[in-house]
Amino acid sequence: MKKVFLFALLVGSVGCGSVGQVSISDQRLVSKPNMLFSQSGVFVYQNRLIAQIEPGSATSGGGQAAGCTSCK
Amino acid sequence: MRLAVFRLVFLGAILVGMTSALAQAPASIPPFTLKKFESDETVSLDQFSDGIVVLDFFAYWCVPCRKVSTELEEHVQQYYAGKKGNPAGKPVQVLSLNIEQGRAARTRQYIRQTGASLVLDDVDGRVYKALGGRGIPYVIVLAKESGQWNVLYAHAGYEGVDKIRQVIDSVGAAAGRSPTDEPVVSLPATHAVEIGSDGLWSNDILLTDTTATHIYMLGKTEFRTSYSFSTLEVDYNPAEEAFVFWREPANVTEERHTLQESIQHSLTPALTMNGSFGGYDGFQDYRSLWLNEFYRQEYPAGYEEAKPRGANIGAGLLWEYAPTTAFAQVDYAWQTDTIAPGYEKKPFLPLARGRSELDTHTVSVTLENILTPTLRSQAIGLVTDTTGRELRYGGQASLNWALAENWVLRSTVGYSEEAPRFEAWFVEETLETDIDGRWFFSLTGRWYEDTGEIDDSLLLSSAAPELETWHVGLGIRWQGEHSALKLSGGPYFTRYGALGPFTEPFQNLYRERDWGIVQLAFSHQF
Repeated sequence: MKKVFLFALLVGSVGCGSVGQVSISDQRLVSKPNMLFSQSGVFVYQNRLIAQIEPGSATSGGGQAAGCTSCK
Repeated sequence: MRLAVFRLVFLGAILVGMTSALAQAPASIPPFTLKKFESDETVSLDQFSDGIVVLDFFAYWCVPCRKVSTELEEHVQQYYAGKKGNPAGKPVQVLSLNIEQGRAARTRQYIRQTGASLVLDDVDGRVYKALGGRGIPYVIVLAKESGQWNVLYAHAGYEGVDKIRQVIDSVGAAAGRSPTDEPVVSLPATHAVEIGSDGLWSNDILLTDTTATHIYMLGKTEFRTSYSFSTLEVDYNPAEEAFVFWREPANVTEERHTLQESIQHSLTPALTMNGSFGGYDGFQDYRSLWLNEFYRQEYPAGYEEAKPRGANIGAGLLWEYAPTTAFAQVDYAWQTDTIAPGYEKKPFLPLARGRSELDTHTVSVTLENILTPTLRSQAIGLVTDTTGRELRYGGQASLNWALAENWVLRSTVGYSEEAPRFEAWFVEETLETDIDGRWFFSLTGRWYEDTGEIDDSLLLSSAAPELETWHVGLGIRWQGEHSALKLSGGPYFTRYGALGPFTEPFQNLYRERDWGIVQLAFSHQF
């Protein structure tokens, strides 16, 4: 399952993004602030505290490592 | 490990194989005539045939264009007007070319904020296309030589005002004063602050996190400093078991302080280097706090007070491989954690204390693309190596979809796995509508499921069983010219599966809970 997911993730994103560019006159909608992937809390919709409960949702740091006191 | 290396090489090969799509401008262009913005008056390029012309293509919705237009007006247009031209005495004129036809009020606001003094309409993109434009901001420097307009400089993206002035100063340099006599321009710094508070509570647990961030932008470098203050409050309620009389309920509270610094520096218009470091002092999560209290009561003779803390350092490289539309980023981070360890007491053996020092190495690759006029995507793949554990593989794909003029759907799906048997999935959807350009309302749904944490080596395993969570939330956001404010919240439900053998003491830690979530965020740029 993981191989299918990773393959779809990579090929889908890189492939689609590299095929051709969207002309600038067509970029108005994708340039709106709520269409960007921002670090700002105003535009991030995931609560930071949820990562304390969900060990599989972290995408950075060592949080999942510190979450279990004796896991192997 | 060999499989992980193969995957990283595979990722690298894909990235290297991408073709750069830099702007391809012609060597010269025929003169053009365009109307002034919201006027019937026309302006011809040949009106400036005795000097140098700088073209600045923009649209009101282009965020990086704001900085370019502001700097070109202040540090090129006004600068050379004050000096009566470049070192050779040639007058310099900046022409700001608007490529957006709709929402004239927004364009008026953009012009007012950037101070652009001469704005022409190129809404059909005639000049933009003739100059090979493939993304904005797009800056061109033209000078008329031997009867034709030659393109001296063309760049999608922004290399800074120093580069533009270097080109301008080189025109006819031999006839006038040396360009090296000119001082290097000093750009004003800009600042932004962000403050965010998150809260998560159930009937026996209260968690809060407040983070203040200062962003300082100076030329090609951005400094981001953040401080977080977190609280954890747990009504510890141990499981009742026969002949176990030493366990007592307790109210346990802890605080955590986190300081983080990150620096971004543009090496070239297409390459940005990232660096970060930081540290924290305190419990990272409520489960560690709950388990620490359990071990304190269970083994009072051998228990040692826990002092969790950690530090991290990271570095990365961002490559804008298609100007303004496609990015690839590779990051590496190392984190060291001192955690509250587990304990184990076997018959006839002394109390054993689990591992308390963990090192985590993470390599991640992020790709961001504009796929269509209404779709923007981001994909993150990462590999994590933590002391004493197998490699963890994770991935997250996000798609932001402009459903209509005022509707945006943000979708994220994620997956992670770790041998021998941990797997996790999550899906999050947010639908947001723009009421009037200032007020936004959103509806969020989230679902998460995992197979339970890896069983540990201790007889008394504290590993979490399988977990399923879901969340529904409503949000409201206000967006001004320099500030934004967001409030969101809703219920959140966590449901654990059955505990394994010998894990009865943790049944109150891993019981079903109904939570409330609230999030407040504010940002201001000045």
